[in-house]
Amino acid sequence: MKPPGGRAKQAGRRATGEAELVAADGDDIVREGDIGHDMFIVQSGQVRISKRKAHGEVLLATLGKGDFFGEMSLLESLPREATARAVGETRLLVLSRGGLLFRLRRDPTFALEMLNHLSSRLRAAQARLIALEPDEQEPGA
Amino acid sequence: MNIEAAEEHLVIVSDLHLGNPASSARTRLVAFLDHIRDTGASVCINGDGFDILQTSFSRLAADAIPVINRLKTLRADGCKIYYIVGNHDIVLEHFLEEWSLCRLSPFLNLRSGDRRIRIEHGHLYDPFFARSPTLYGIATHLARYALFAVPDTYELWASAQRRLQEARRRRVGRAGPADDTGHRRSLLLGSPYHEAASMILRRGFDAVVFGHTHLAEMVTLPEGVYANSGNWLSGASYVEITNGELVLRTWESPAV
Repeated sequence: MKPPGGRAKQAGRRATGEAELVAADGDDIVREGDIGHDMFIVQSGQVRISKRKAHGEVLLATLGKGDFFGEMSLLESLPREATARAVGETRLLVLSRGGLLFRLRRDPTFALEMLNHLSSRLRAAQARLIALEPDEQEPGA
Repeated sequence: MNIEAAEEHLVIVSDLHLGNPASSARTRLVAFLDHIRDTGASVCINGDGFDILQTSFSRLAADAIPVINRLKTLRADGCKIYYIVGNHDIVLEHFLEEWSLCRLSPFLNLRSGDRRIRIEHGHLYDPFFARSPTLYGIATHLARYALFAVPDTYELWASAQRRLQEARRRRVGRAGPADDTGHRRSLLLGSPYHEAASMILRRGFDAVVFGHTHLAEMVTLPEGVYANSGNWLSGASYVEITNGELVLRTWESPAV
């Protein structure tokens, strides 16, 4: 078994701005801190999303068929927030900004799926933020 | 908005058009839902279940009530009922949501067995609807008067659609004969619905089920399976999903 951390290779892009990528087990699809402008949809296999912390790597999520990631860098032109690593042989659909725009025109329900996903994440982040707030002191307590 | 679901046994029907003067769905559908009750399957109405665009309210109520009663019975038995919004019932969206009998969605991403299946009405990929929704609405509304005057107008339209589909098949020469599960093989895309299904399939789906065209079919595209659940205006087709396997069937009422 090869050590993790190799780079997945991407096939040529179609005229639609989409490409396909096959990653071997342990290949890094994106690395935390990298500059990147593509997002990815898992066609088959699994992807482990993790983030570096002082005490090591923290697993954020394991994604499967139909899940997507990398949209934050695509939408905001910011470096990758986390590392995505293939678990087993994994096939991915790669979308550039132009590819996403084309897809939203031809496959408009994807926009609703993305918004649904981003809304859930925002709700979860708000819940975590509220949990971090100290409880208000009762008057006279 | 809930767009994710998991079912091991689901039956999909579409384009019932209850209330439409051309729809003869009511009697067959009531018998069909009684049969579904015996199988224990969940039910998905994949758009245009109720037709508000081409009917009067009294006609819609007369057609819908026996079907709603059967759906209530199914639900009381613990069966789940999903309703995907189509183009003839989009104005009923809030009404159906408040009704609480079924789970309403714009589309459904279904997990069944190890398969991921998209269920969607499909009107968004109708070139006429996509290009000119207002004109499409006007044409649909005008067709209402023709249907009230001569309900056979629908048969003329349906026959023209079938001929167009056959012509397209011959032109691209892509589809072979259907096998015993209703599948045809396809290498080239010959319809906007196949193209749309192909786009969706590339996002990690194994199968896509549309309605809207009224043409029941099951085709194996290069990216996965495309099925259309057909219609119940004059037909009785449905897609049955069991542990991720799709089969296109036609309901035949038992002889009385």
